[in-house]
Amino acid sequence: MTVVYFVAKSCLCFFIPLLVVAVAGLFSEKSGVLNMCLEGIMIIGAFAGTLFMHFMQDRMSGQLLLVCALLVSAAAGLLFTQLHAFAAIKLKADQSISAMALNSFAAAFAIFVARSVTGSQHIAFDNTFRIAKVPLLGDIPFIGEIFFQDAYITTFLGFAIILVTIFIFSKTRFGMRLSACGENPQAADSLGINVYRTRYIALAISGALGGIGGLIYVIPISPTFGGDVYGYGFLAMSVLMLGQWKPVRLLAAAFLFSLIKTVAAGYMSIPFLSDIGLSDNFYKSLPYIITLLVLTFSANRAIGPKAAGQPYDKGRR
Amino acid sequence: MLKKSRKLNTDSLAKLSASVLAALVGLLLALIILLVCDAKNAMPGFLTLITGGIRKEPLKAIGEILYQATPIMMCGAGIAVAFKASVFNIGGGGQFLIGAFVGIYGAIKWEFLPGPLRWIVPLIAAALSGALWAFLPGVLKAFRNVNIIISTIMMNYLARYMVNSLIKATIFFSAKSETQAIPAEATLPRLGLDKLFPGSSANIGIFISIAICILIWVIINKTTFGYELRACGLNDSACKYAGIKEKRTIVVSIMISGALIALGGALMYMAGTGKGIKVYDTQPAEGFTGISISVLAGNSPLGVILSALFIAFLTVGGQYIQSHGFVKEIVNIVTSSVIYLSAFTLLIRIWFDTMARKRQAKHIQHTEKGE
Repeated sequence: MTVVYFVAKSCLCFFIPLLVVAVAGLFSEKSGVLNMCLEGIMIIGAFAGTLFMHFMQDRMSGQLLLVCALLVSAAAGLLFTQLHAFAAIKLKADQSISAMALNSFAAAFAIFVARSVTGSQHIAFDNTFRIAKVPLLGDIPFIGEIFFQDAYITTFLGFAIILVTIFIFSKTRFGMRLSACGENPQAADSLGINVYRTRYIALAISGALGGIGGLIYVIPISPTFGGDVYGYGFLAMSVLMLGQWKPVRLLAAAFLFSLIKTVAAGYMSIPFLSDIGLSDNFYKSLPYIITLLVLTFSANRAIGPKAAGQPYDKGRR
Repeated sequence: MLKKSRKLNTDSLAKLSASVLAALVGLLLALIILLVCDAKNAMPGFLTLITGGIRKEPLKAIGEILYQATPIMMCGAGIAVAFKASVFNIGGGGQFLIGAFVGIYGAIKWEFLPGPLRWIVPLIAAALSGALWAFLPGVLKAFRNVNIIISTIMMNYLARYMVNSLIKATIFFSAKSETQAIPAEATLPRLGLDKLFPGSSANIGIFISIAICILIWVIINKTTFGYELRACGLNDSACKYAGIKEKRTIVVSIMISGALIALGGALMYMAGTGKGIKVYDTQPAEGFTGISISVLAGNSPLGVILSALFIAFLTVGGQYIQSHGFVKEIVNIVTSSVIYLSAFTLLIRIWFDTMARKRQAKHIQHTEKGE
């Protein structure tokens, strides 16, 4: 039972950020802009959030600090993504090049500023955000233990984000218009939708969510942030592909990946896995091997938004 | 004919000025960041950065620039080859590590080889291993349509963990938690460069790299294969229609790319500087630096020679900048801004085109008046 509890708990730690960042990618790609800089956005979000906590934790604490830090992360991610938006939408640049540049910029910038400001590459913060037990809900057997004891509000935020996303894409005019810009921007434009503006808005949402995702990723697993999210943004992109750009399926895809990640990170604590005696490096490689396998068997079928990656040129209508 | 050559000229001119502009704005950004961090030391620090440390120890700095330029030049050339076929190879980090490991392993273990073969064979083995490592993402792209950016990134992590295991199993030097040192007879020949630039690690590698860049330029521009490569990069369906095997071209281009980058890894660690591959979880930066170099060079293998020297120049400057109390990551900020800013290439090209068109219109007006 404790093993199941442990797996479920750490699974949740990986699941929520993966889901949030995959949703960030969803908004961007649905609107027709490839967002390969999720990794960089996460780094910038986590960096801004942890830096904020590092300096403000003497003045406020607990949930208020966390909420403020999340807002800071969202703002940082949003601003940072505008660089990608500008290159991809306005300059019609190659979207993967601009994204890769931003990824390496984010890492260098985070390390550089952290060293210059705090004296160390690793920004430390006190984790005062854990809620020991939510009253009433925490008493529900099993489910209560997993979701409502030793919980973070970010978990609920993550679920709220996916619910709102599902709602936006299936029920609202904005969601439909956004998808139209990614499928057939010429047609969307001819119906009076401002493709450029829609894409800017989509990327803003994407950046804010990506920034939040970065901070959510760091908080439960480490007391410091060292300027790297270890390919998590790219894993989120694979989740997006596996989930075939459909919000509901993202849940299942993110769950699969977080399970693998849990095994990779915590195999020592899972009795039958630690008995096999495979090397540490094998388990560390596991998420990446599975990603490759999943893509090998799903990429041919996974057809994303038709116009994703193509700059929209009004003159070609 | 005249029109075509003029068009070509504006094109390369636009590319060149975009690169120069990108480099300048990148440097300007660095200056701003330095000013924000520490206004008092910013100017001297910036001067050190842009003089590449040559002011302080001229000969050593030049030698170091040549040494630093070698691996990143190979990475740039590798990325450029793949780019020509529209393949974006982000797997440089992994290919670099694999090549570095095979090079070091060969240099240490293959004692039966005679004379100069002691370092030549490991270099070749490194290149082959890189090609093999790049084969998988190439095939996945060609036959299973797997996004090459994601697959090569996954391969980077795999390479890191695999090389860590392999080092620990074979050539581990536990005191420093890195690979063992290479025996002197298997290190790259210095060719007297150590006498010319005392205190530096310059060696034959720089000549090998430059020669390979020129060779790649010839292959891309003067051979049938190179033509097919470029054609696939421009339009793969047209390519298929014309009877070029576009799948094979994709796989071969990323294999060449992997081979060059892996060779860069071997050249870096076989220089006999005592530097070994550390066993830890981060990716080598050279793979990404290769991207900046290629983009800065407009993906031209000859341009790669210059841009690699430029980035090496900044890197050496960045090492000296630490004495002013700055962190050397500032160089990474410059290079990534350079890639981002090269997005402006298109903007500048459009501007050049409009200029040319205006000039042409004026010219026609003139001749009409003359008649």
